[in-house]
Order: sequence, then C-alpha cells, then structure tokens
Amino acid sequence: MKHLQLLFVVAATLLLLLAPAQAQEPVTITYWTDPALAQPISLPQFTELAEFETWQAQQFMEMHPHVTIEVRGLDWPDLATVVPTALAAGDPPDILKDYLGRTSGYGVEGVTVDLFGHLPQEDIDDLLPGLVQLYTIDGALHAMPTYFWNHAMIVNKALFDQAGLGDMVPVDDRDWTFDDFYAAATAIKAADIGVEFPYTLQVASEQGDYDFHAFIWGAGGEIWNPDCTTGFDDPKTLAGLEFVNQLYQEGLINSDATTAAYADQTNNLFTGKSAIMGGGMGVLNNTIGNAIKNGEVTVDMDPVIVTYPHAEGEVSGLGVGPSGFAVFDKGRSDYEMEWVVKFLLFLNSSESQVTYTQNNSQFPARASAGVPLEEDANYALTLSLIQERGTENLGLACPGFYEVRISQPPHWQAMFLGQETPQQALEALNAESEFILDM
Amino acid sequence: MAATAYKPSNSLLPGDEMLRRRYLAGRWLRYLALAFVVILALILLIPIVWMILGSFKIQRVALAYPPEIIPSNPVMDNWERLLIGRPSMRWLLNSLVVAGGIAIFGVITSTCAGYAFGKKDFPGRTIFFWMILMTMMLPRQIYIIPLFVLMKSLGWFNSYQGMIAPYIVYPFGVFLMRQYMQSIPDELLEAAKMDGASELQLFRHIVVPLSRPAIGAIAIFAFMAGWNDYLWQLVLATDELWLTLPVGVAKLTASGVGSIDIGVSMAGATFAVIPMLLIFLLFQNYFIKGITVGALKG
Amino acid sequence: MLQQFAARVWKGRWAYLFIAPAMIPFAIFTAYPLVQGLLLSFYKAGVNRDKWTYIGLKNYNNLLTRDPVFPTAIKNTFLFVLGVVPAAMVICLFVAVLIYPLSQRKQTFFRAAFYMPVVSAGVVLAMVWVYIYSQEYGLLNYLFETLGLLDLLNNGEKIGWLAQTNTALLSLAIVVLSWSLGQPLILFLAGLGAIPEPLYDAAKIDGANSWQAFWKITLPLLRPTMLFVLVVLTIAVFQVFVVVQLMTLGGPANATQTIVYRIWVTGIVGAKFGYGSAMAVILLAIVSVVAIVQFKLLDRQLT
Repeated sequence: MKHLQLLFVVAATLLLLLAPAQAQEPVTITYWTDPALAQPISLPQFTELAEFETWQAQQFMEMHPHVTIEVRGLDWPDLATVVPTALAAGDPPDILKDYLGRTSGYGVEGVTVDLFGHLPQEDIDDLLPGLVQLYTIDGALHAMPTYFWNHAMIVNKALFDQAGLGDMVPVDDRDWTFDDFYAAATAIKAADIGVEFPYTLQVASEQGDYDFHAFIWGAGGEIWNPDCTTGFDDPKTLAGLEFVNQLYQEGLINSDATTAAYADQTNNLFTGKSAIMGGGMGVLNNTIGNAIKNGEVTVDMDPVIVTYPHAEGEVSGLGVGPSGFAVFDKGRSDYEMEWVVKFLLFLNSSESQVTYTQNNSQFPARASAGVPLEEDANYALTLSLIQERGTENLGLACPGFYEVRISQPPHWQAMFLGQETPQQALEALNAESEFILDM
Repeated sequence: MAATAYKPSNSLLPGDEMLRRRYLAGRWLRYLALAFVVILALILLIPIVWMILGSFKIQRVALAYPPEIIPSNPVMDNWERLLIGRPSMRWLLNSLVVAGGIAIFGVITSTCAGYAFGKKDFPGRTIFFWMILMTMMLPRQIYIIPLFVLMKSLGWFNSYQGMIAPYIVYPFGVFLMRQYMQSIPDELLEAAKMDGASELQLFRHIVVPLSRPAIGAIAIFAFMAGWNDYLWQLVLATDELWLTLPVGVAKLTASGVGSIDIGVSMAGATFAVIPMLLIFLLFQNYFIKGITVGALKG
Repeated sequence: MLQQFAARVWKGRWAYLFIAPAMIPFAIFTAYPLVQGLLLSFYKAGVNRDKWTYIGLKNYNNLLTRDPVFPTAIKNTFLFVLGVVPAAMVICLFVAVLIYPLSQRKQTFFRAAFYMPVVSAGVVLAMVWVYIYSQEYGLLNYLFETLGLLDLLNNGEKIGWLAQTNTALLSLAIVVLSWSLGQPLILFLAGLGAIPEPLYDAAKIDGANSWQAFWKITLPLLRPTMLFVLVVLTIAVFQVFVVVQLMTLGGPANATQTIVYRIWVTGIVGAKFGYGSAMAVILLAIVSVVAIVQFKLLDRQLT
C-alpha cells in the first residue's frame, strides 16, 4: 500500500516534470527588420545592419531553447522589394519591423494578423491611444507600434552666433513665422561666414519629403486630408509650395536639391555650407552626434530644435512617424502563434522599447516605457512641443500612400528647375493622385 | 579560319615615293587616332581608380572639395569594416560557386543547343530559338514571383542550386553559339559523316574542338552575368551566410537612414571587382583569338 | 502531310536531343514562370494572393491612356537606345580596327581598360559614378574647373550633372555606354582575327590603300559580327535600369524614367504586379519588333 502511494507520487511528479517538456516542440520564427537602428549610441559594439536585433533574438533563444529565430536585416531599398515579393509568393516572414507607411499597405491588403485577437489586453492598453488608432485598419490592429520618430527643424545656432545673428534663432519659444525664417535665412547667407545655402533639403527621392512638406503644413495646407483624399487642390498647399520655391529660387536652399542624397544634406550641415536642416531627435543625437565623434563636422556645432516656420495665424505641428511589428498571416498553428506572440511581446516589451529608443533617440509607444532620455533637454523639449503644437497628418495609413509619395519628387524637381509653376505642379499631382487612388 | 592574326603590312617596297608618302601620312593619322583611343581607355579607367582611392578615404575626405585625389591620410578603416567581422570570404565563395556554376551550365547548354540551331534542320527550330531569344528581351522582375513560388516548393531558398537554376540556359550564349556554328563550313561536318562518325562522335571530336574560342567567350560572359546578377540572389538568400559578394557589399554600405558611407562603399566595390579582374586577365587569351560569329560567310 | 511532318521530326531527332539540355531547364525555370508572370498582366494583383482578380485589358488601357509617366518612360528608353547603341558600335569598331595590329601585350592593356567597366558590377559602377557626377564634391566638376571648362560652359558655377533635365539623361547614357564597349570590342577583335590575310594582300596588289581596304574588305566581312552585336546591344540597352535606380530615381522631373524602372517602381515596390507585367509585355512587343527587323538583316547575311 505504501509502495503504491510512493509509486503514485513518483509517477505524478514525473508527469509534472515531463508535461512542460513535452509541450516544448521546436518552433522556428523568421524575423525581418529594417535598418532604423544605425550606430546605437550606448551599444557601440553593434555597427552593422541587424546586429542589435540578432543580439535580442539570441537572448530570447537562450531563455527558450526550443525556439529558433532567423533574423534578416533589410536595408531600405531591400525592404521595398524583398517583402512584397515574398508576400506575393506566399512566403512572408513571421514578424516584420518596418515603418507605418509600408506596414499599413500590407494591412489594407489584408495579409497581416489582427493583433487585437492575440495580444493581452494589458499590453494594448499600455500603447499610446493615438498610435493604436493609427494602427487600426478596418477594425484590425494590423501591427504593434513600437516607437515613433519626430520631425522638426535643426538649426546650427553656432553659425548664427558667429555672424552676430544669434537672436534671430527662436530659442525662447522655438517658433517662427515664414517672415522670421526668411529674414534669418537671408541674413545668414549675407553674413559671408561660408553659409551658401541656409536650408538644406533634397527632392531627389521621396526620402526627403518631410523636409519639404513641413512648409506646406506650416502654410496650413495638407498633402493628405484626414479622409485620405489628397490636399493638392488646397490653396494653402499652394501658398506653402510657393514659399519653398521662393527660397530655392533665391538661393536659400541648396542648389543641388534635385539630386542630393541624404549624405549631401548632412555634409552641407557638417561643413557649414548650410545652417538649418530638417530632422528630429534621431538626427540630433545619432546623425550629428556620431558625425562629431567621427570627425566629420568641420564647423562649430550647436544644434537646437525649433518647429518649422508657419504662415501668420497658423500653427506648425511636428511630423511624427511610428514604426511597428507586423505579424503576417501564414496559417500557423495555435502553438506556433503563441510563440510568435511571445517573441513579439519580448521584442516590444517596455524594457526593449527603452533600450531601443534610448539608442535611436526615438519615443516609445508604450506608456509604461516612460521618458527614456529624461536627462536630455532636447528630448523633453520635443515631447512638450508635440503636446503643445500637435502633430501633422503624414497620411501614412492611407491606401495609395507609397505611390502618391513617389509621384511627388518629379514635380518638386520640375518646379525648382523652372519647368513647372507651383500651380502647375499641384494640378499635375492632383490628377496623378486621382489616377493612383482610382486604380 | 585564319590561324595567324592579320598584321597590316609595313614592308612597302622602297622607292615607291607616292606610296611611301601616303604611308607616312597614314601613320601620323594612326598615331593621332591611337592617342585618342588611349585617352578613351584612360577615361574608362578613371571610375575604377577613383573607386580604389576612395576606399582609403574617411567620409570627410571623401566629401571634400576640391577633392584630395590621393588621400593625404589614407585609412584602412573601410577595409577593416568590410573584411573583419563580416563573412566576406564566404560571400566571395558563394559568388564564385554561383557564377562558376552558371558558366559551366551556360557552356554546356549553349554549345549543344547552338549546334542544333545553327547546323540542323528540324521542325520547331525557329520557334524554339525565338523562345530563348525572347527571354533576353524581358526584364527579370517579371518572373521573379512565380520563380520564387517554384523555389519555395523545391525548398531551394538559401542554396546554390536555387541561384543557378534560372540561369542554366544562357540565351546570349545560345545566340552566340548559333551564329558561331553557322560559320563552320558544312563540308567539314559532311566529311566527318562520310568517314562514318556517329552524331555524338561528330559533336565531340569535330564540333566542340572547333568551337573552343566561342566556348571560352561564353564561359566568361556567363560568369560575369552570374556574378553581376543582383535581384534574384538578393531575394533568394534570406540568410546572411548565403549572400553573394555584390549583394553583401551593397548591404554593408547602406548604413542607417538612407545615408551612404562612401569609403566603405568604395572598399566593397573594389573588393567585388578584384576577382573579376583577375579572372579576365587570366583567361582572356582563351577567347580573344577568333570568336568569329559567322564572319567567314559574309 | 502528317507523315511528312513525322518524317522531318524523325530526321531531326538528334537535334532534339541536342536542344534538350537547354530546353528542359528552360521550360521549368524560365518559360513556365515567365508565362505565369505575363498572365498576371490581366489581373489586379497585389501582395495578397487571395485577392488577385481578373480584369481583362484594364491594365493595358490604364497604361496606354491614363498613366502620366509611362509615355515619358518609353520615350526616354528609346533615347537611350538611339544614343548608346550607335555610339557603342562606332567606337568599338574604330577602336578594334586601330588596336588590332598592336602586339598582344599592348592589346591587353586596351582590352582590360575597355573590359574593366564590364567586369565591375553595374551596381558598383553606378555608385562610383554618382560620386563622380556630384555637383558639390564630384571629380568631374573638379576636372572641368581645372581645365577651365566650367568658366566656358557655366560661368564658373559647378554643374549639377544629374540635377538638370538637359544633362541627366546624357550623363546616364555615358555610364551605360562605358560598360557597353567591352563585349562588342572583344567580339570585333575576334571577328577581325578571322578575316583571311591573303584578302588584304590581294587588295594591296590591286593598289588599294588601307582606307579602301577597310571599306571593301574589313567592313563587309565584319558585318555578321556587327549585326550580332547590334541585336544584343539593342536588347540590353532597352532594359536600362540600374543606372536609373541608383543614380537618379527617374529624375529630375521624370527626365530619366525608363520602362524597366517603371516596372520596378510600380510593379515590384508599389506591389502592383499585374500592372508591372503589362508594362513588360509592352516592352517585349517593342523589343521583339526591333529585334526581328535587325534579325532579318542579320540572317540575310548568313543564309
């Protein structure tokens, strides 16, 4: 009798021990990531594409040895070709990290998993409500937002100080009108301290469009209306465009704007050929910070963040763009889905977001992640500017976003080159976007 | 086929004054023209030289104007970043295997098919030939998705066979070989047939030896095509270890938000070119002499 | 009738055996995916396979009547072909005839120089050329400045080679030209090697100078090679893509849009796979017509 009892206890213990082990069937998860985290500030050992993400995945695999994670880093051009191809061929990754402008397209097409049905409610509640709203397409959470970047203006105040024009930079309220901006730009160019093109931007590719759109927003115009129609027929859009065009024609914008790459823009800033460029915390801390470290900056650098200029009576909000993790629909088992979600929550935990955003100088999507760069005055300032001035509508989640986006640079180029008037450019774009959205 | 290369004669008869003067005038013109060609060749080399020099420059120097032609302070950082901590050698191996495989298959299929298209008459000859030629006219982007699906069902992602298979037939090679075969006199083949050679013997002992120069050319051209193929290799290799050299190098150079590190780009570019240059210089003589492309029948 | 056909097939049985190693993989890995890809041109096909729908000729209709950029892309593609192909032919022929009499070692230098751009991947070269053409720190502007050409052409201002609509296409064409010379040159040199020397000796005896010999002997005998090169080069240049993708993205103001770039940008990146396929079909139609015309010329030389 006693023996039997003992046997029973032993058997039960064995079963208990074995049960979880039996459940640990091997799982393979593919995780593709964008190159957003370049040269993390506090993790200098990671210098190459996807090294940080691979390190994250290794940590997860150490905790759960039955899980194999295949990480693939894709740079921006690759993201645009490899992912659509894989999707159309029916073989997407399990998890993709990319910015909203692209994941939303996948969401609209219905190839992503609705995360509302898979994420714990407490995690959804932890996400900033505005982001959840932005990520909800047809009632489904098409991806889980992880962080957002911001876009404002960065002014190298050192150059203005050097020219004795320091008081033209609005350091007190970080706010200026088109007239203020124009006066400052004209003055610094005239000051003959080597500033050839006060403001640097590029319209060679769609990558530079926020530097350009910000003037349109400042005039009260829109590229995308809230209902996802385009705002090219808005008279205020025209007003903003005319202002940018005036800046270019008067030599206040770099003359190679129609062909410049991002490296040309930053080089203009680093060598003092330009004193102002678009950008947010990421540009301020990572791009400029790393450039100073690498000895690429040849002038005094005192970058300050201000909002873009605006027309009298308008308010300049900030451009804000989120990135997130999309899970693609692959007909996986509940068990596999369970582990995909576990890995997703690991990647997008509060702690991960803090590490990530600290190194990338971005803003976390979880409320519980708090303010990762608390002691950074510019970081706090940016957050307060976002609260105070609001954000601009980038149209990232609109159907046709990508194609309308790439249809623009040719017309901005034509305008700068004097082949189209701002009015003609907008009329052409209006017709083109109608065609695109109709297709 | 002329075994010895043609040399324009310099041995004009002495004393023929008019011819001599004409010859001298022609010579000066020739020198002038040669000078022009030398300059042209040097211009073509500028990008290559600029690339190599750029690989030793840090970003600030690379973006300086006026440019430092020879970097006053050359650095090895770009090369270190390229070669240390990255599987660059594995990428090199992948590229060699893939391009080599494509070259071997390209030679085999081109020689066999080119022979049939050029020397045999059979129903469907024109149609089959045009089908192959038409694939030269279509951009690869078009069949990448169906091909991707096919590779998935074969389980050929991250594999050499997956990267080679779509290039087993090298249309340019088939075309070149067809033209070449047409330049071989029929009598040669007829004579062999009379001697009782079988079709396979004929092919092995007459056709293949005769087409050696064209085979050499096709091998090199196909190797280049395999080496330079970008899109397919990019799509098919989901694992870093399976990248080919040009794809891997292109990845290295894209750091961050669309910015380009020029020095690393140039180092990567140089690294990707060196093997090609060596192969060209080593093997050029195999195919330089006498790929005739039907020249005899003019 | 059928029997006759069967007899001809039977007679050609060895030929079928010889084309089999090419045609079988061709059918599996090229023809089959290709036909599938082309059929997509009748579909609205995005990233979601379940949503692919048959729409008949709508893609073609949109492309030919409504697309604002496609006509420009066709025009630019033709400009590329018309510019690069004849230039490459003339230059290669000229260079081949000039360097052919040189010693092997000297020839090697030229062959290597002209072949270097071919062995360097297009992706790589495009990157270098962007750097050379750069308005602000490019080597080309520096050379022009040093030679005093900037003062002559542009009042001493640096030229934005890729930034101006009137220079961008030309700048790209030069890059394409630079890597289109190697292969034809080698084929021409080989063609020259096959011309029997006695022909020239005979001409000399008849009192022909080298200029006459060139027109009367070299050119006619080289014609098959020339036409082969012409067809191959034309087909290749019609597909001009890498330079556009890496150097101008079709800009400025659509001045360098080409057909294959449009296929890539809307068909692949924009994930309108059906629409992209329709563009490819149109490209195929154009190139086939051009190639057939050239081919007729080519084959007449040979049969």
